[in-house]
Amino acid sequence: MKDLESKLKRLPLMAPSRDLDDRVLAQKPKQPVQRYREAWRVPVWVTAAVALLTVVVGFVAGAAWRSGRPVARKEPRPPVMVQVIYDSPTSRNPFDFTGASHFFPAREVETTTRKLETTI
Amino acid sequence: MHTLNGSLERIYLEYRQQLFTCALAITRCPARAEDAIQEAFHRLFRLERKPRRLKAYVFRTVRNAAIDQVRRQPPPAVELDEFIFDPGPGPREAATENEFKRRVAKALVTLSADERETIVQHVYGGLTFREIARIRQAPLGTIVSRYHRGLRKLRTKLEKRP
Repeated sequence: MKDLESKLKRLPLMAPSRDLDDRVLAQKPKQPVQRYREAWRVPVWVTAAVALLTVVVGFVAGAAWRSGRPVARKEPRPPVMVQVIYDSPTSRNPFDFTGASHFFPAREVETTTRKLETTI
Repeated sequence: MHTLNGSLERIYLEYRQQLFTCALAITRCPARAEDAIQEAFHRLFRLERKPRRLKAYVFRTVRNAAIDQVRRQPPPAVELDEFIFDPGPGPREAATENEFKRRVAKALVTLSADERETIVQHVYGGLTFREIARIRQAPLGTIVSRYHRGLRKLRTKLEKRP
């Protein structure tokens, strides 16, 4: 079989005409932009993966950016009124809240506490 | 990375002769074999995406176009003596070779279409049996047995005195 094969292979073949190349290759589309886009068509899963990755990276970067910065907000100091009711000169009852002995405006107040000595 | 059209052009330029011979084995007419190749590449250049095995796909498209040509207009009743071979007169010292060529051509056209096409695709198309099986969408074993059966018939016919 091999000798017959090699004899067959040696026979000269009929060649196509010279204008076949022009006829065939002239059909190649001349829109490189369109063909380029077709060649680089992005699969849906790649698009979805890139979108997901962007979201994750965005969240991580945002969290890192927020944690690194101290909160600079300063609350306005609320007006403070301290009402001292103990030892009110107007009443000897320590649970009488009707009258205050002293009022202090909003500022630092130093206080000292004293343990009540109660006698039953 | 080759674009699809670049790859098609490369395959055409590399396998032009083989494509033509395989198409000619079906159409038995050089002009119609060329028309089949042109028609096939008209379709191929407009493909949306690159097929997995481009070479086999190109051969299959050309084969289908050649079969379409034959369906539209059957092959000539008078067989070409040279069939797929170069009909050139050749030098005087090649007379024996020319005689052998004519006998092979005559023997080839007496084979069944499947056997003839398989022999042409393998011997002159340079295609492996696996590639032929893909092109013809037939089992590998069928292709191999067609080839060997065809070759045996061809040898028997060639051994007979003309």
